[in-house]
Amino acid sequence: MDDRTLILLIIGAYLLVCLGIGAWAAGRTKSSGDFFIAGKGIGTILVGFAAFSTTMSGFGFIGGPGLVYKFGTSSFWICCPSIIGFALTALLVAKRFKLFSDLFEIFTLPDAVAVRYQSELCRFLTALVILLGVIAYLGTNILAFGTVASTFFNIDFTVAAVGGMAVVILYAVFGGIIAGLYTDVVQGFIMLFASVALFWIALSTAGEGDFFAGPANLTAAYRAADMGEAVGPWGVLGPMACLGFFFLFALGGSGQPHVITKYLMLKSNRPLRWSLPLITIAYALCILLWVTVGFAMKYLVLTGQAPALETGSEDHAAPVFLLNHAPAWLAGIVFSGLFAAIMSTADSFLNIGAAVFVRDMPRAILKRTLVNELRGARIATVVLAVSATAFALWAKEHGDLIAILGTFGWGLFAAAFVPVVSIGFNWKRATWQAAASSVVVGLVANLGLDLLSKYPQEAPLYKIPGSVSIGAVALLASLVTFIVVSFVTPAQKLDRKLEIAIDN
Amino acid sequence: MTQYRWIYGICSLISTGILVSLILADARFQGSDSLIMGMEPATAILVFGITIWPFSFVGLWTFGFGKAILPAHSVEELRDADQGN
Repeated sequence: MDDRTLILLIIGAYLLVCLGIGAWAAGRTKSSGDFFIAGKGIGTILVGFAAFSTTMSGFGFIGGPGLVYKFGTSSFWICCPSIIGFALTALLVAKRFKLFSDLFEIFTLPDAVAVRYQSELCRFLTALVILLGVIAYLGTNILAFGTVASTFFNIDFTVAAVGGMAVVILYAVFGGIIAGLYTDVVQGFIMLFASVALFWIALSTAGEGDFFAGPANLTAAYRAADMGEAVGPWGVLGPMACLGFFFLFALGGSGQPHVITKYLMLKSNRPLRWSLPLITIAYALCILLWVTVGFAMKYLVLTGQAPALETGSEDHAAPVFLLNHAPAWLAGIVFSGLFAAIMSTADSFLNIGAAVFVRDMPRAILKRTLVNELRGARIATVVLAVSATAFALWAKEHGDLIAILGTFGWGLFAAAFVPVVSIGFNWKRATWQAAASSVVVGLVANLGLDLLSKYPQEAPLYKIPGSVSIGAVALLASLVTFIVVSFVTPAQKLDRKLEIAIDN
Repeated sequence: MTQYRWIYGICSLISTGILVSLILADARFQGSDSLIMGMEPATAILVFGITIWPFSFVGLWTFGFGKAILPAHSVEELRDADQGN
């Protein structure tokens, strides 16, 4: 059996496991409660793996090494603070969501926001931002899947992207979030194994066979090429950009709806307690791939052992390294890990996106629920997945559009939801006016700053100094808005159950 | 509650100790050298410090959960509220 056949067999087996889980979960999905929050019955392993594997996403496995290749240690300021983000999320959001979901019927993030602020406007705005973010995230993940699969299988990009989404649709439509959670566990294990194995290979490659010599060789190679700043503490982008990343990714994790909604599904306090160490340890292991593979690829380029990647193709660092420097069986597993990272995020977004259509928007606009939410959720999942795929394929031909979509990811959710959720669910003085205005400010600041920094193409109107990320500035703006508006608007009268959920 | 503050304090001390030991280890080398693992000193502090530091909170959360995070009286109050008492 040649290497390529072995890799294909491993990837095929992984995809079959995902479909099998979807078929099994379909039998356990009997209501919209099962579809959206797994019947509120998930334990430590499920919530732990689901939270870390959906956070990692295709960006972590492909974009992360690409950023290290391009900007050096600057990108460490994205992945390392995310561990602080998990701790903050546990303290500020996970516990509150568990208490709120014990006292109220909450299936989605907009449900939770509507309960907390007693406002259908806040529900609507939250759902709207989720919808925009879902389309953006799904689009970038579909493009990532298409890029990797078409490169590796040497097939047409459209066929690769559509094929990958077809598998996700099949298990997400029938199995709902239950299928998503169990596939997340499988995908999480694959990602963990892939990360640790590739970490070893990457540093061994940089160490010319000696794992422990890897970091020293890397540093020496960068210095010899007069690129020492790339391995310094701030990387190529400098301290302001890195501190912006730190702010955005340490605090922003508590505003990611695809992650925090997992805490609405807990069956008891036990998974709340034990999931945090599981998530943080698993994520810390998973970023080993992020922080080493891009450097190893650059080392090969700097020492003349590999051709340089073309400008704009830095995202190929991980796939190229994998194909040329890992054994075939491991390449198969790691490619499965790449697909797993993308698919685990995509299925979570499909689920919260479907909820927007069948639960959040009807309640916010029509003030009523659908007659059959489960059937509606399945139809909405298909429609959303097909629409997002078609949009991503169309947008691929318009490079600027994808770049704009890219900013509607982590930064948008952080700016829109961190004040509303992380602060508002812990501070009784927060008002619905503050929540609504901070969501709008987060949305407008993200989009506005991005457009100003890109257009007109010849001379953009405004760029944030110091390469500080747009998301960080938008998050700061929405935080200030939230606090100021809360103080200048009349305090809301909260009922006793709300006060108990916030006080304890 | 007090004993869990102690746990948190000890975890923080361990984290701080890791950072300080990295700096001390770095002092064994001349200015242009790297640490034993080959990283520049400040880079090592970035990688290990920022990654390891939050684990002191993870320790508090995990081992002090029933006392410091969600104590029994809170669980009781929530149960009463849920049952409409």
